[in-house]
Amino acid sequence: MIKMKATKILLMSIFAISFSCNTLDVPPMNIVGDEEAFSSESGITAYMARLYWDLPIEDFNSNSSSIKGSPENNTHDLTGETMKCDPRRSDLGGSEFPYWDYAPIRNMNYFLQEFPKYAGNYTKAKIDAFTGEVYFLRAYHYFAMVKRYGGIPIVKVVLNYPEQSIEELKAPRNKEVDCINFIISDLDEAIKLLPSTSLASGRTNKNIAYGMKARVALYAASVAKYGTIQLDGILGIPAGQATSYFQMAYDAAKAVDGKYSLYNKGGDLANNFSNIFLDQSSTENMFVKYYKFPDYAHSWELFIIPWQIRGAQNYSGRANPTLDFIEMFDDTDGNPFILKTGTDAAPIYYADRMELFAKAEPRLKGVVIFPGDQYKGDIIDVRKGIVKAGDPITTITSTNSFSDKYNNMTIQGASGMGYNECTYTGFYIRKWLNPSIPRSLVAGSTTETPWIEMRYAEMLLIRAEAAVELKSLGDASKIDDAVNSLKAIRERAGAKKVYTAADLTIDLVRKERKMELFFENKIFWDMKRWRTFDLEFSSREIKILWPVFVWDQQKYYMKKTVFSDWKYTFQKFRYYEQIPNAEIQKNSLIVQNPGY
Amino acid sequence: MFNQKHPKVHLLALMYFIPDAEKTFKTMKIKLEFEKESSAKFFFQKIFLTMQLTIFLICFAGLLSSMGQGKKIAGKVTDSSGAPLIGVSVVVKGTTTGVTTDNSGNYTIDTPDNAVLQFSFIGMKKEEIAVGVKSSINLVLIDDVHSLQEVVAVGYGTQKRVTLTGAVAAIRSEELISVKSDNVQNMLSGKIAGVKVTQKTSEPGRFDNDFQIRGMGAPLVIVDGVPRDNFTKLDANEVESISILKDGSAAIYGVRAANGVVLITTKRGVKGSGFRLEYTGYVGIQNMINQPEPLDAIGFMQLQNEKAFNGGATTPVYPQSSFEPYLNGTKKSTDWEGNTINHQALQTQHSFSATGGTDKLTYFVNFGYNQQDGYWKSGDLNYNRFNLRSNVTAEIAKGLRFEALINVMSDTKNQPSSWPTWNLFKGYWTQIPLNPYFANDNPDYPFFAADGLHPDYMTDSEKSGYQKYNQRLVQTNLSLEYAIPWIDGLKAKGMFSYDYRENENKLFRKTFNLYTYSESNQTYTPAPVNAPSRLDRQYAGYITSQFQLSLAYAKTLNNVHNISGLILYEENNRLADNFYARREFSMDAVDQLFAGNSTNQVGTMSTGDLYKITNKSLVGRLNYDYSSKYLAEFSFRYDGSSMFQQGNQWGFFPSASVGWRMSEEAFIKESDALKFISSFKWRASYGIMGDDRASTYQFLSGYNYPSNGYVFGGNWTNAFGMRGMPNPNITWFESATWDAGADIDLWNGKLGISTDVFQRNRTNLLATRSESLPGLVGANLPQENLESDRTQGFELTLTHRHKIGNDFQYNLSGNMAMSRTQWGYREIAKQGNSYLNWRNNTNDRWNDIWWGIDNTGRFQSKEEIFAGPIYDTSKGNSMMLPGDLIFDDWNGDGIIDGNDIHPIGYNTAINKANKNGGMPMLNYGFTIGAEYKGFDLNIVFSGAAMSWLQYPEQLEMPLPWNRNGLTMFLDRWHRVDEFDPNSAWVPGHFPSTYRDNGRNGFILPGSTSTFQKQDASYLRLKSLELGYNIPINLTKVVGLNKARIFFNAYNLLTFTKLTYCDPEHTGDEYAYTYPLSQTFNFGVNLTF
Repeated sequence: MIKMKATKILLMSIFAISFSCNTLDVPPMNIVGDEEAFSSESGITAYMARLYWDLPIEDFNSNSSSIKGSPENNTHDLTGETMKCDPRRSDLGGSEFPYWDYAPIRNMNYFLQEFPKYAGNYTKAKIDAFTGEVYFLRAYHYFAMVKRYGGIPIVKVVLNYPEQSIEELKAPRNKEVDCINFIISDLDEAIKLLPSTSLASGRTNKNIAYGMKARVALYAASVAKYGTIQLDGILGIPAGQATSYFQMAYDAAKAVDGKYSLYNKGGDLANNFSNIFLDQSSTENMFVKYYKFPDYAHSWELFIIPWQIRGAQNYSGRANPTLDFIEMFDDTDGNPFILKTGTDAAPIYYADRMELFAKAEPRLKGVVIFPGDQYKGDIIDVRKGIVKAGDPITTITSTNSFSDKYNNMTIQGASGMGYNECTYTGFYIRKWLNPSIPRSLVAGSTTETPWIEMRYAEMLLIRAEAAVELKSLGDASKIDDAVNSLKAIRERAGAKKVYTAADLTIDLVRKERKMELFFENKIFWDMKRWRTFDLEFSSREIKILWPVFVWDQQKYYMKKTVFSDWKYTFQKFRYYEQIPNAEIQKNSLIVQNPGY
Repeated sequence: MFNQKHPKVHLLALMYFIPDAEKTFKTMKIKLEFEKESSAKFFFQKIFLTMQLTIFLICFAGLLSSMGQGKKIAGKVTDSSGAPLIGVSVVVKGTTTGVTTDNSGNYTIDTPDNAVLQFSFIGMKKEEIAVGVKSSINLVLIDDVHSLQEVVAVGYGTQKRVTLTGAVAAIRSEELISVKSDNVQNMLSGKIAGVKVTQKTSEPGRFDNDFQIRGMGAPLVIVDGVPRDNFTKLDANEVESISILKDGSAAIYGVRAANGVVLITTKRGVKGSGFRLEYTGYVGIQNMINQPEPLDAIGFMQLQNEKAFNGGATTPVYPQSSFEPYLNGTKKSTDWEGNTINHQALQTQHSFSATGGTDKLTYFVNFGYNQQDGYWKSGDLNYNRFNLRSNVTAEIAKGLRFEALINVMSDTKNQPSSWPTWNLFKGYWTQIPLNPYFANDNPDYPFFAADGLHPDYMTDSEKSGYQKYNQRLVQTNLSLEYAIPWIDGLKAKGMFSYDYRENENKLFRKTFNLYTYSESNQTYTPAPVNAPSRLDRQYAGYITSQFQLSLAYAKTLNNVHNISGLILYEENNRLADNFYARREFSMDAVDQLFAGNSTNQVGTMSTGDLYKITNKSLVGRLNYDYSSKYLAEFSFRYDGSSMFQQGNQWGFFPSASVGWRMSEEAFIKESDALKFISSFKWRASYGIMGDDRASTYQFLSGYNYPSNGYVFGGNWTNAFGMRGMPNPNITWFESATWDAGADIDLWNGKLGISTDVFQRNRTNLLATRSESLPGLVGANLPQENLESDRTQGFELTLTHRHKIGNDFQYNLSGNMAMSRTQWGYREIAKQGNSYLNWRNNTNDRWNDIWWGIDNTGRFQSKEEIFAGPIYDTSKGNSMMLPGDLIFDDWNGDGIIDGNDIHPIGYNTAINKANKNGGMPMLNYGFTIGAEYKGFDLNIVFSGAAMSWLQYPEQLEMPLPWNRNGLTMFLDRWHRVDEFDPNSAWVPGHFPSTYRDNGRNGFILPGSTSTFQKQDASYLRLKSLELGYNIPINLTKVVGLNKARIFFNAYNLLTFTKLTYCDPEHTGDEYAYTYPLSQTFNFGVNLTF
């Protein structure tokens, strides 16, 4: 009997045996600590990858609502360079590209604070390289905010809560000039510590830091010269410092001389220009952001390509060059490239639309697809509509349907205009498009074409601009260098006209910059630092071109017109963006920029 | 075009038990082929099939039976616990011959040939058994549903309904299966007060329901004592009962029980009940309901012209000449839907179960098969599921009971192409009806449809690839229970369960070409879609093991003190692991991973499905009642969770409840006037529960790895994700639930009333303080246990049961429940002005306030528009037209803008990206059951009130992206003569077709108005089932103890104010979700 019970109790205890030694202290499996992060180079690399990922590079994906979005609302949409395919927008604001983010700065400060504790694991060269890299990244990051907001609070150390109270954590904005000097001192530190070649492609080096310093100094100099001091110096830079910043910009840009050269592989100049952005072996590349499918790629091809050769996802022509941009160039004879279209009363007819663009500067041909242009083996057929037999030239039959026909001819061309995924301006972008990508791979988040954030041409343009500005401030010693810098750029572009020291004005340098750096998300910030935005955008209408088929003539008539739905105006106070209200609510010491 | 795969899947399953199945199948194939256009014939085909099946089964059963002569029958009648029932009436049907059972439950009776015995006992379900060849009949009588003696499952045990003190609702198998659905959750709809079920879609295998108790969020689901997530995939025939713990009674489940608990108990065999074989099966046809239709060519061109004119154009986009060919029939509008979608599809369900028991051993074995087709003509969208359950209990020695519960489930969802199902609806709604289905109408060249969404390709696996989602699970419970002999009433029990689930998916994306045709050079230009071809394999495995040790004690002292108690230790481990791989294909003939290219290959895993979580718990409960009159219960759970840091891992969750059965008091019992009160119980409960599910290890600092990355040296380099500041003190939120109620039974069941009021106060809800921390810190604060809210409401259930004469009995039951949640403390940053503070400060405010602008009518004329407030500050009101919405200038500043936004209604938080309403505030339902002779009828209505929703995209505006719209937008303000912009206006429901999103007349950007907010209240005839029991003296000749045939309709009728859509259709997936179905089912239920 007792044995029986014992057996039963034994059986019951079988369960008890499996009573495991489970503990409640189960760490999650994808979390590592500082030890793993800092004590090996692979940890450091992962840390750096995060800092680069967070870097606010205004690449293909940068748009008005996000640094990492889709490319259709890049800054060039606001400068008159391009116009969206579906242009719905009111006036130019000042808060199109907000970026107020101290999280990456915290990560950099944390690195500078903690990394020395693990320095014993690395050689001096590695320690310098890593530290220099973080200084560079911190400068890059601060500059992205300063160029938007002016003076901002400088945070150099890791702030902690609840160790510091919320009141202690609040800080007012520093003066803009102090921010600039802080950024420059970080860049000087980076220049001192960084090796001259990157640890890996995509990462920074000493020369890139020089280039960045040139950019920042040029910004500061322009603001000093053209801006005004507001809010006791939180905005603006004392005018007296313009000379020294221009000098600094010039010197820094010149420091990379001999390290890079303009991409010039000969052959057709237009193709050469377009290859700058595709040829990975380009000697002009300084700071490049790479993409890798499937991990992280962009959608430039998908969104930009002309309609008739679009990918399966049916996007196309989201941003297109304006007629304003086209007419900024000179023709191959060196004369202003004013398109000869005649008037409505006396139109000029073209059998081939491309006749109108025959004399386009090679650089322009390299970045724009004209109506009737050849691209990827197709004739890019852009047609606004048809003027029917007997109709006056002003009555254009247009449609937004590709199937509507007049006498068996479709009313709009195979690439528009009229349908809302097609160009409104008459042109398509060619820059950054890679013709070797097959149609099947014209899709979202698959394009690997790298973004060239900084190239040598910009250094030459900075030198030219700084030199010309210095001349206006009384130091003409570098004007020959400016002439030569522009000459190199214009020769490579196939531009005919040669500038001399005597006729080189700041306007010509700026125009050159606009023509050269088109679609590179630089012009927007240039127009702000030059304080020319409000002059260029005062009830401005964007110019567009309508290729119209004239049925009687069986020829084209090209009508210059404007996109009449919106007139764009830039108000002066918007040179500085609005600081996010949420930030001011959290930190009462922050003053808002004037006008908001 | 018609594909035979469609019926094949059903038939394969039926082949096993249809004689000549092969032949039938072939006949069917032929028939189906020529009947593809006729859904009615299709439907009767199914009835025919079901009849065949029934006849076969009856014949099969006939083999088991033979004829007998008059004889003596003996046996024993027990209750479900095995205790003998004394005084059960045993009568030979149709005669007055009868006996009653003795003190041991035994009886002996003389019967003629072909006799049927009727067993009846108060509080128990009446049973009829055909004698057949048997010489002894042992029987278990089952508690009658709703009877006071009914036993319901509660946390870690069972209790008699009569002494329950918590708000526990229970539903039994019989009530459940009167609704026919693939998802057990749908079978509960409308039946239990406070159980809110929204079926968002009837997509096969999707199971996308919103299931909540009292609007509190997703509940914890316990199947046979173990937390399990296969609620939706159970075979309803294997479910014995479902209990819903709505109040503090759920606190016994501690840290995971804050939203209530669903307890599912599966069927067991019954001691001494002999062997019983049962088959239930039905075949049904699904009909797509309440689905909007896209415009045809004429409608499309009309709206496009209108849109252009409204935008200022002076010439039509489509002149009269474009309309002519469609009007005179020379051109046909492209029907993008009709070529690919049926409005009917089939479904079927079959269950076989064997149950029985001897003195020592009981068993329940069930095999279930469920198959559901989708509406795609190709037949490539479908779902099938196999359920196998074996529940065996054995007394292996005196007082020692062993139980093994094993459940196996395997299911597959097949879906064509690589797109989610909703994309097909987006596809065919948006394709322009002027565009051809095939380029140049050449069937070899499918037209380059917008977004590559060509319905022909999206619905066909052969053409565009497939998605196959497999789930397999094995769940086991093993337990030993020992009645400890030296202490009467003490039982020790050990239980171990081990569950394994695997999700294994294969997603094959196949490249295909769509074409454009150029007439000028007569060429077809291909546009490759989904290039390159690619295959994904995904695998995830989940292991849950649980271990319990318990001691239970139950004893009655002095006949009045009933005491029971439980102490239990439990450990629960949850593990998950996964990986997936992807390769691209140069050649896609072999759809296997090894046939892919190594370039661009991916092999990685998701961090969300990699975890190890441990819970440890000590559970206790004490029940006391005095003569079943004064009732009290106390329970606790001391719960530990590995989701938190040491020191914060353990929590104590107590609950207490009391009850008073007033009807047992002398003043009622002995009063003649109050004698109609059969039972009257007051009860009240309070419990504290927790919820650790929201936690994500925020007590840890450091780095998530990997998290994004960057390309260094040409290679993708994984990056760290900085975790920011940790919160070492983070813990679960707590919920304290009050409930008070009464259960009343009058006139012996003629009127039953059960009502509850409740309140759930949650504290320590996770929230981030970041709003108040300056941004320059650069780190978000971790979540902290800061906020609070309160959910409250009431429930009412009324029941009525009655019997008229011997043959007619019926029951009615109605229930309603209302609940609403209010925020308590909420973190909020200082707001810029008092209006913003009023809008954004949600402290102590209902959480379901709908903000928007009042729509007070329609502008009748331009004059009215210009006299009205300003809608667009840059252009005045020049873009507006008659028929546009008049918005109320609520703040009176003459301008309609964001400052006019104020509360316009209620529903769960709406956001622009996902404009769907939340749960209805009030749900109700009623059921009607009736039996007359052999007929039975069961009707379930389910309804919702105080429910609002708003749809996005195609259901909000016509012609998005300049593509097609829905026919509902034809009901709009428009000109009498569409080509004359000066002709008079004709009013309609929608404003005239919009120009673009910027025009305020139709929609105010970033906001909603009372126009977009639609009343989604509804009443639905959710289920109607009519059954007929073939008289037993007919069925018994073939050995059947019971044969019931039934017709069932699901979602038969819907009454709602919502126009153009189904009230349960959600705004998820931009409102393109696969629609709901109405189904008609025919089936049989056979017992051998």
